[in-house]
Amino acid sequence: MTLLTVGTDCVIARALVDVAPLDQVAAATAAIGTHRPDQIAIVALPAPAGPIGAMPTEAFAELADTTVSFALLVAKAAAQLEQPVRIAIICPADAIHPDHLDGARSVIGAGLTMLVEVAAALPTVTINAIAVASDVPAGEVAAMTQVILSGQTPSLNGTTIRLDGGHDAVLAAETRGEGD
Amino acid sequence: MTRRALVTGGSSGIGAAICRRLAADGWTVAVAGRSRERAEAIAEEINGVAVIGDAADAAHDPVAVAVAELGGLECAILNAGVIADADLPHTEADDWLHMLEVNVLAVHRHARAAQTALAATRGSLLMTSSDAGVWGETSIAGYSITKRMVLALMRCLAAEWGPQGIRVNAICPGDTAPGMVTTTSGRREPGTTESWLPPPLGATVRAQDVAGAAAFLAGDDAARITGVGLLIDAGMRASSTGWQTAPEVGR
Repeated sequence: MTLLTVGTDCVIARALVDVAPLDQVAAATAAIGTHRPDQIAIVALPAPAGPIGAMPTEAFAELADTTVSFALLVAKAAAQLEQPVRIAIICPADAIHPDHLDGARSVIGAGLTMLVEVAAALPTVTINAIAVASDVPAGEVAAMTQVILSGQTPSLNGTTIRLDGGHDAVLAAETRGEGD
Repeated sequence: MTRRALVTGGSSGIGAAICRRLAADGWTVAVAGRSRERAEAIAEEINGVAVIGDAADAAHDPVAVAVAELGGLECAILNAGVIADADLPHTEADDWLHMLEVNVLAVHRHARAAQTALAATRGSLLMTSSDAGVWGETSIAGYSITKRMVLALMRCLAAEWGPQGIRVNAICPGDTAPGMVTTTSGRREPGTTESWLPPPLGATVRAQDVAGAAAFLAGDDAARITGVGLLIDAGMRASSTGWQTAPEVGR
């Protein structure tokens, strides 16, 4: 079993392995070719960036480049190994239901959810995402990641699991009794 | 007063059909497209104005041109898009980055450019996503990802700009003729309708069907509709096996 962790260097990534993840596409894809890992954790957890309508396109482009483009190219390199590989993408909680107050992360999260959906049909790839709320302990994210990567749930493929304590299960306003 | 619209990717396929439909409904339309010849031909046909430029060019600002030419905007339809016909292992990095630029970043850029003009008229934005953005397709992996991102962008802007009176929606066409498959140069080989799976309604979606949906979302009948991605796919995304129910395509 070889685990490679790539992407955002954060407390969650450090909970998976005790070294900084590879955060450059060239380094990450080269490592995939060299080490031929059968488990890859892609951490795509940029800092909150606020509403996307107020964000300059150049800043949004940079965010998309370091998350969606990065994950796509890493997943592509993994698929090209032509050996069984399990991939977990760890992404923001707003990936499924957008939060306009953190719009840029919502949009890149949406792209990552689709990445796992279109990659799930590839014959050698098992891929899932974990949509993580900001207040979830890093150890819990690491535990869920290890479940996904372990192979003990081989039928779990192409899904995005919400790890948010149920926060996103209903509309937030209704949770507070403000909805109708 | 005549309503004014900008349609990017307006010189062919679905975009051209939208331009024609809006003009028939009384709108004055700025037809934006890469091809001067095609854009000017459509603009002349509908008595609109042509805006020449490539959505992949960050310096290209079709909104500014349209506002200057028309004096304002009630609607911006951000329709320009490109596709690469490839699953994930065969998606070239350059193709992915081109799709991201045109299908997502240009939409973001042009939406932001249109915000002030649309707030002034309490107008609307309409983005062209895809049925592949709703339920992805392995064979067009990168394209599916970009169109899912468009849907999330649309929803975020609908909430963010709603207080300014700006509505933001998306159309999600299924296989459409004439549409991207037959008109987009980024595709390596020209597509044909022969390989399309028949949707439950049996009939291929026509560009004018998509244009009708766009005209509805742009118009006053949709005054309380925002944050919606409307599928126009003859039922293809209603079921994972919906294509098995129709005997033929092209009716």
